Amino acid sequence: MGIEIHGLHKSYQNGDQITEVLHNVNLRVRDGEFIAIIGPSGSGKSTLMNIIGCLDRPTRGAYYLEGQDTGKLGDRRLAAIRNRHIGFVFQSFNLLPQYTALENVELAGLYGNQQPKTVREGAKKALVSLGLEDRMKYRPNQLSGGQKQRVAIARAIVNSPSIILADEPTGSLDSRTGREVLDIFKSLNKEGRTVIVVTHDPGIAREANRIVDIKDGVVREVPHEVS
Amino acid sequence: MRFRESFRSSFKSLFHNKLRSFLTMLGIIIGIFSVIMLTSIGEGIKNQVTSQVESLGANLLYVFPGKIQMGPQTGESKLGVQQAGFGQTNNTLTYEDVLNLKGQEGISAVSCIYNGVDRLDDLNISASTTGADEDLIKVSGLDLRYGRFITKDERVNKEQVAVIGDQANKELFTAGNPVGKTFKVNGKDYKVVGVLEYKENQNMGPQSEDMNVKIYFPVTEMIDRKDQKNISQILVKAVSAEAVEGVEKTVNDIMKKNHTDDEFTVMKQQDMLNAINNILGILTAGLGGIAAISLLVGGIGIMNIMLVSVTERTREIGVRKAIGASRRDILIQFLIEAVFMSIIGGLLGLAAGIGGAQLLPSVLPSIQTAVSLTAVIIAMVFALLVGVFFGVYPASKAARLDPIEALRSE
Repeated sequence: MGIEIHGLHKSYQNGDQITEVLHNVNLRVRDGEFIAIIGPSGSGKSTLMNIIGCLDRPTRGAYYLEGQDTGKLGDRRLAAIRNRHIGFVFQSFNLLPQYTALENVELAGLYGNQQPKTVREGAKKALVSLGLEDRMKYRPNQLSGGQKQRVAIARAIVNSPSIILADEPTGSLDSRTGREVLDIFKSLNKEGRTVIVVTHDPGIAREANRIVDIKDGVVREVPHEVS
Repeated sequence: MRFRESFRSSFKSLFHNKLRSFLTMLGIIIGIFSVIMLTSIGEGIKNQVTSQVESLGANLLYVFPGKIQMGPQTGESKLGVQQAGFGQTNNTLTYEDVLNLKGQEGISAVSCIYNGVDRLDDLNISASTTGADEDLIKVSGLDLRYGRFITKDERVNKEQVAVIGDQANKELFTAGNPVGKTFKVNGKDYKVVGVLEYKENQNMGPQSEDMNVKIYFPVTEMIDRKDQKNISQILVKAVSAEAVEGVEKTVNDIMKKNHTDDEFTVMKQQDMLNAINNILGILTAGLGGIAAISLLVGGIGIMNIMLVSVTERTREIGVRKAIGASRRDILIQFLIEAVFMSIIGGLLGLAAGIGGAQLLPSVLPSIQTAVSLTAVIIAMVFALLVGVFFGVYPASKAARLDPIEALRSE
């Protein structure tokens, strides 16, 4: 099962100019892998990640997630996949400022149509597992960067997704908290989750089982020793 | 997302921007406030007029010159009154008609009103005067303070006597009891036989005159010395309210002997009420309609702020989509926000409007107000519709946002 991408192309139209961001990408990720996607800015790695996360659709080619052809799914089904099977972690945390840490985490459960009570329990558990039991009532602007990212991770895992997608998750953090966050991803991976991290940071890439390098929209597997 | 959670989510966003949400609601608050206030004033006037007309007695009928068609009677409401020869020019009603009606079955009294202008030599002014006969006091509820009303003999003999109102008494005789005294009209002496009780000026209703300035002469005496031989209206009093229907027919039949169909109109109290209510109803609706325009402006305010909000919260929308919101979830959330603002604004406006309508009479005692349930319901439904109507576009704009673009935005 896992992720299977065949002959994927993605291009954007800007006026009458068409830019191809991804060119004939073929990628296979097995369940439980830890993959780092590296490459220079503008190489298309975020685009690939958005497609894997069902936020974007390929222009051409096929993307199978857990054996399901995502190209055939409508908006509501894709939303449900994002909710249940995928957990997003962003560089800029993307917590909603009007909500407390707990409410931010709950939101993911609520979009999954669960009972508010179940959602609250799950959210508390996720926050506790990340050492945030005394920060639940805090709003994002009262939290440090590392704490914010841990809240974001709690939100990503609250629905127990099989895949964690992280876009430069340590990009806004200092090296020490970045290390802590990386350790969280490693332990999530040990629990059996697939972790895909887009990063510039060779330190993170070194931790991954596999490294995928994107340059000018073309994907290339990198042998581990090289990086 | 469950509806209840969407609701809470929307509420939270609105509460997060308290001042802005309130200012946006203000448009709706003012709109609903004015709709409720204006319709309450309209309803109040309607009630006032109705009670005044009804106080004159439910068993009265009026005969007016000319053909007056009432909307509700014919079933083809054409707003107000169609007239053919209304007024003095084509007036063919005579005092003969009054005499013909007197003593008919079901009729307890018949009188008339003849409008004229006479010179009051003592005051050196011209005043409007009224010709009447002995029965006027029976049909129109006049109260006498001194003396008596005009008698049948005085009417028959065309005597130069007068019954005067309170104000007329003050000006002609500096108050006191003037019965037996005389005053000069067109150079001739008229003897005062009665003075009317002072009456609060009723500025509404069919008898909209100030009763205190009235000067009554025997109608025959007036007709005798005037060129105008026709009377302005005939008042018929039925023996009971139940007899009114029959009397209407009798009056019609008798009038038709001397007049063609379009020379006169018989009206019941109810007809007049209907006509007045009709006109006032249209007036009230018109006022409410004007106020509703401000509601529309309020709705545009909501749309404006919602569009700003969608732009500002582009990133939030992206995040929500990333963690599992469908387009429908986003649409519902923003729609609820818009509807919520219009409904809360509507409720606040409703409270302010009802409060204002209760307070207004104590500030301006001449204005009476009555809050009508219909107006309240219509205003609230309208507020809801405004919210939905002006919320749909920003909400669908939010729902259609590309999550990638949304997440990339700052």
